[in-house]
Amino acid sequence: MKKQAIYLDYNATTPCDPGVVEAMIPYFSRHYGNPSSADHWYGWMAKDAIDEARTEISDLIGAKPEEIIFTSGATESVNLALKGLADFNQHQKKHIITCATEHKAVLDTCAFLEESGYTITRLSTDTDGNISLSEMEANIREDTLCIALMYANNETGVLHPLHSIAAICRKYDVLFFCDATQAVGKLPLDVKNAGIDLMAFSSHKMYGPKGTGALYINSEARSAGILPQIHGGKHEKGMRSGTLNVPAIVGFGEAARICKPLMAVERERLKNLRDTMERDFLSNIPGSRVNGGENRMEHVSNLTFPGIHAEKLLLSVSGDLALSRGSACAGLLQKPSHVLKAMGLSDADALSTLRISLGRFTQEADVFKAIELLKRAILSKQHVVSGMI
Amino acid sequence: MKEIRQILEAGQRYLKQGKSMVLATVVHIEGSSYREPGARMLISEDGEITGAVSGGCLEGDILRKALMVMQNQKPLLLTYDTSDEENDIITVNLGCNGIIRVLLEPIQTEDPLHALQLLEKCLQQRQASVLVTFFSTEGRKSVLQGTKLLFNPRGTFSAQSSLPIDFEMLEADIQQVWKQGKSAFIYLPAIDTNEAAFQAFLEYLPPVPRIVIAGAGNDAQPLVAFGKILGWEMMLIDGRSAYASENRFPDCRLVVGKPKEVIRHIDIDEQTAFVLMSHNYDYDKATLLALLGSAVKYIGLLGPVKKRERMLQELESEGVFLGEGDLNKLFAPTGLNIGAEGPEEIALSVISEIRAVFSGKSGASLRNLTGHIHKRESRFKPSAQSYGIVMLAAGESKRLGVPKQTLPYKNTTLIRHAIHEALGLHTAATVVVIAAEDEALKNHLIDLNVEIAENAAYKEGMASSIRVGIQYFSKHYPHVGHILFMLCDQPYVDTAHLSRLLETQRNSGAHIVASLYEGRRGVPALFHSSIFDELLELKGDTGAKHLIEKHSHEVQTVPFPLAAIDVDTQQERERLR
Repeated sequence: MKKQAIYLDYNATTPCDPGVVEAMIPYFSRHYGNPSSADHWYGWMAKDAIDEARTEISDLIGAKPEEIIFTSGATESVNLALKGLADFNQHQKKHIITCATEHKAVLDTCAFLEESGYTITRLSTDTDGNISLSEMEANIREDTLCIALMYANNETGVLHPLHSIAAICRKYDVLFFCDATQAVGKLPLDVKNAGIDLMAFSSHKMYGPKGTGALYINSEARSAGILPQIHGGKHEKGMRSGTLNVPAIVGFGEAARICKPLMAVERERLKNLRDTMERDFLSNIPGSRVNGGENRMEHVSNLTFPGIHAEKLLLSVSGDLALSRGSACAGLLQKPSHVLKAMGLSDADALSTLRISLGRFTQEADVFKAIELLKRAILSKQHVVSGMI
Repeated sequence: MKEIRQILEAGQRYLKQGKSMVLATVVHIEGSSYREPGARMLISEDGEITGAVSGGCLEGDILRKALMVMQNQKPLLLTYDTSDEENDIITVNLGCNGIIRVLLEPIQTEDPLHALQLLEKCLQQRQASVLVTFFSTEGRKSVLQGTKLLFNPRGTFSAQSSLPIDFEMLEADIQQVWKQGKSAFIYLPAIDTNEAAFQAFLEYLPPVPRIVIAGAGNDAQPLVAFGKILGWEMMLIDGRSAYASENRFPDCRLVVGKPKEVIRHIDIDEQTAFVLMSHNYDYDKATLLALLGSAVKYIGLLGPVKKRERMLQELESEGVFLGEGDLNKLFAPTGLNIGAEGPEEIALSVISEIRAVFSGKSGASLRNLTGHIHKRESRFKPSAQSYGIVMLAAGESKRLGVPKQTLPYKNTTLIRHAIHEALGLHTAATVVVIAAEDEALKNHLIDLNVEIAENAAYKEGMASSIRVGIQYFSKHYPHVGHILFMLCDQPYVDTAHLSRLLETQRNSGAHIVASLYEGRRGVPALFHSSIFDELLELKGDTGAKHLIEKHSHEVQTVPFPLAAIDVDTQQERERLR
């Protein structure tokens, strides 16, 4: 078998940290009890492990353990937050403000609610992906249930101004729901400080296992009322029934514990690598552009290389590099990313956009190799394309 | 105490039956709760519980966690946040609003001084004890947690299992608790930053109240019964053996005889109360006379005001005048004003008054109280090991002409005396800053438990020595958060004053604590690490005086006029002789 390709798609998912896997192993065949088994050691050990994971995770985001609900992942958390709030408040509050660049989990859920009679305001952004706070404020109505805005965009890394958003939300007594899936574990985040009422995040974006995530719900949100979406046993304080995925949650907790001391150093290291890479592309590939302004996460690079067919490019380098692009398959056609479209990119440009995201195990040598490979591939194709024209 | 006794009895039973057990101890409470730190519960391997740590709301979960600990045979620290209403462990909101920490420890019966043995020792004699339980909020599963140290006049007893810190390092803190008679919470310095930080609950356990009843009549029986429910030590004295009989008062210490003789055989301390109810005027009066000037905390006299007045008048005419101390202890008529009729109600009224007096409380209705029912200290204080001492001894004694450090004083020398006083604090280290190449002084101190730091720039003045002292600590004891600077030529500065400086710091949290004398603030003075950088910038012969002025608003002072006396000139030296 050939050497594994260099993985630069950390925003899609992250490998489990070895410490995470080690922490999980005992919970498969040794401490395999059901945490809801209240009367024996197996159950107690499992529950204790869940409690500890919950404490680590809540500590990471500045919350109290009781404010964390475990789900199967960020997508479920988003569904629970939006549908839960909507269902409980359906008679009084029928309006949600969100943004065109949100993750599909938020947009598709909002679209579903729209079909049930909700009004959804999708804020536009400028070409750098930033919203206008005054536009957001102007759209708040008497019946606005919540404002759903992410912290870090998964495609561009663009960051929304949480403090300012929260201040406006508080002013009008509107709940602030934040999809922080890309940021938790990578950027420092304190939910109390930031003024967030509900927050969705996931384990597999922070070097934990897939299949588990959390929804943070503070007392304001709880008072507003959230209707559980999954019934059957009233687990997680009745908010989300179902036997907990103990090994995954243990891994999630360990991932949270591990990332705390590494965050600052990782950020700086990855920023240097990312900036070096971007500078190289921008100076050596004519017409290349970074999407998203100054205000981005330090390990993400969303680049448009005009004239390049992104899908073909990724496939051609797939033996050596694992990357993502600003488009997705929709049958035989390529659909441009809704995020890039919202930022004003043309379809053609969106289809010529790559997303490179670095992470904990990215080596400097990997980045240099990636730069060389991509430059070669892009320049040769551009040459061909321009030659064809 | 009653609870401890019950737990020890249950413990003996389980030991005989070969059953494992786990001890639960409330080690810290923040906010309010039903029980106090030190509340305990013993759980057997088959789920039997003795004692209680809450009003019942936590017991179910603690029982399960204890059974888990029983299986794992490793200690575990539990934290319950009862201030949160959403917490589904507490199914009934009991109105407690606090964070309770409970330590679960398996009883290691192979250890001759395991937790229950240490508790047994507390009850063995009529003197207070300090019991130390270690726990770690950072490392709730740490195996070093547990009830491991007991200190009382009989000695220091330590569990055989490892402690997170040596007894010597905690000695100063334990002594403080012992002297003040109040439990304390200490956080131990994290010597190794990779290890979890530890805390210690230093529990002051007073001896059980002892009630001596003069008069073994029928009406003494309910009084004895009440005392037994409370777990107090009940004793009866009477001149009549028919009355003070085991038949009538089983399970009670009885002494028959005249008051003066009987009292000679009783150990009277500040946890002793006497109730004079012999219904024999002369016997009561003789007992009162025998108690005057003793350490007894409470003397209750049954009978109307007239009886008291008559008794005091008669004693006066016999030449016995009660001082203020004795008068304050005399409660005549005995008991609280509850309209008691009959022996049982009177017993209730007397027992309640005794409890109020022992607690230093008024005995009035709680509903008229503003504020907390119990004034509980819940703050953690830094251990004495978080403090260090720098003694500035690099001075050239220019005015004196001879080195003042080695001037004779009290059978030793000035500096050795000062060091002796400093070492009495049991801080992390005492560092003596001497002039570089002062071999004579170095040799003079060679046998002492101090560390020497040489100041090559000593000619510059005091600031250079201050710098050397701070740098020494930063290098060798980075965990020390406070440094006490002192000189070696203030002969009256003693351990007591230095200790007051430390206590003031721990109680106030102030960043600078200075001595106050002759209207000025100066050394000995204690500085928090946040001031170290500024101290490092001092130059020349300035001490820290102007830094103290600069931080004036956050300086606490401890007056000590004798600190003004130092030995700078021949004159002062003569005066010292």
